[in-house]
Amino acid sequence: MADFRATGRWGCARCYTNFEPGIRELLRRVQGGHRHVGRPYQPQMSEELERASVLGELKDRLRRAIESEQFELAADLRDRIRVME
Amino acid sequence: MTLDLSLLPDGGVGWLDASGRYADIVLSTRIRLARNVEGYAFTARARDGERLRVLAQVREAVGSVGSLRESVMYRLDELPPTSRALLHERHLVSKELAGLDEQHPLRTGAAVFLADGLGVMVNEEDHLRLQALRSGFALQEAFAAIDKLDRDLGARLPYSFHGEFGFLTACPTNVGTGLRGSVLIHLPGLVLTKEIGKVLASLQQMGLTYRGLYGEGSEVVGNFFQISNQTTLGRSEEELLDQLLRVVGHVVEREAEARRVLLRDAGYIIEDKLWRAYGTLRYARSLTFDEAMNYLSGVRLAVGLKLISSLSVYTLNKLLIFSQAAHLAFAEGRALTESETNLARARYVRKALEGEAGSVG
Repeated sequence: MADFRATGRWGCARCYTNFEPGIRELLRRVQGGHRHVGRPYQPQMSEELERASVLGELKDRLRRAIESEQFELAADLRDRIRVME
Repeated sequence: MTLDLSLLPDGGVGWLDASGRYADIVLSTRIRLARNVEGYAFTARARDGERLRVLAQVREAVGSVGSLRESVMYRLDELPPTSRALLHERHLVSKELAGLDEQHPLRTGAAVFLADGLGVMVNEEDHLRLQALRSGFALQEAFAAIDKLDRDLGARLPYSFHGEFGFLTACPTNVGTGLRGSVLIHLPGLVLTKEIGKVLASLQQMGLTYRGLYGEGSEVVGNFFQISNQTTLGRSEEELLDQLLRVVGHVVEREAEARRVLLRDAGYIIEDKLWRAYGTLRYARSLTFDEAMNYLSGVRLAVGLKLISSLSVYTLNKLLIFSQAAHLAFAEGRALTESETNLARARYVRKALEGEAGSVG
């Protein structure tokens, strides 16, 4: 916050959540409001992140399948993991 | 590393071609969007390594975005000062990115990707400053281009976004949409009829602001004003641009009206004044930047009023940019002192006007 007072610039995106109440007040003064009504944004998962997360889930299911001795399902999951890797 | 401008199909100055609407009054339209990449400190706070990682991540994303596939990348941090100043004079990079601003020294990882009418500045005040530049008054066209680029890049890079505050930026004056639309407009009629004060005051009441030829912090010279939206939050992109469109449309009408009044009420005085401006540009042996801008403003008005018919708006637009210090130094192939710059400027302007002098008068 001291940095902001000196430079008028935030250091990183987290500042907006760390100082939320103060920022709301500041935006009201600087911008006349604090609510974004423009285009929404949904950060899209990159292909790699998405692949890693699907792979993680499959490995999880494989572990559970083995633990519960569902070998047919486990074989199927293992094949799918092999294809992805 | 030297600057190879031949890599850019139009030298990055396609926006000067005067093909857009109201081109004799409106030089260009620019829309920029400020974005940051999640996971890094904002540029001023980031370490060199972080900025280089941001650049690498952006570079990879740019490679798979259709409108930027043919883009050229310049690393500002590897270019000499004259080359950086030249890109700035062409309105392709900001003063801050070019490291020409005393408060903001050149940063490691400062770069720009340039394609036809589109640009992405990397490691400016925000990690990304996307911009679309168009000739004349073309807010909708510029927005269509920048919005598409933003969606394409935003699908490949995780932007910093907050449900309530919108796109997060280093400066609270850009947060929300991150959108600044600006129209570069020439208003000599309103200045000469002394109406300009009222017009500028009304802009501020409408939530708009004005600056000089080079945006924030630049002086108004040659009657060139950049009109832009002041706030970026609390209204949608379309609302912000609609407001700018309406108000600038109104300013254009008032300028056209002021020009009619000048011709009607002070025809010969104006005619004499503008021809004197032309005469000075055509024959002067030394011109300062401010002098050149002011006389060019006069000649531009004379062309708009059809007092001079053989000069094209395109030539005048080019003169505006190419007669600046870094362009002159670049053309001469060496650094110039101030008086050498003034001599080179007068020489350049004379030559350009000679080339089009056929039926002047």
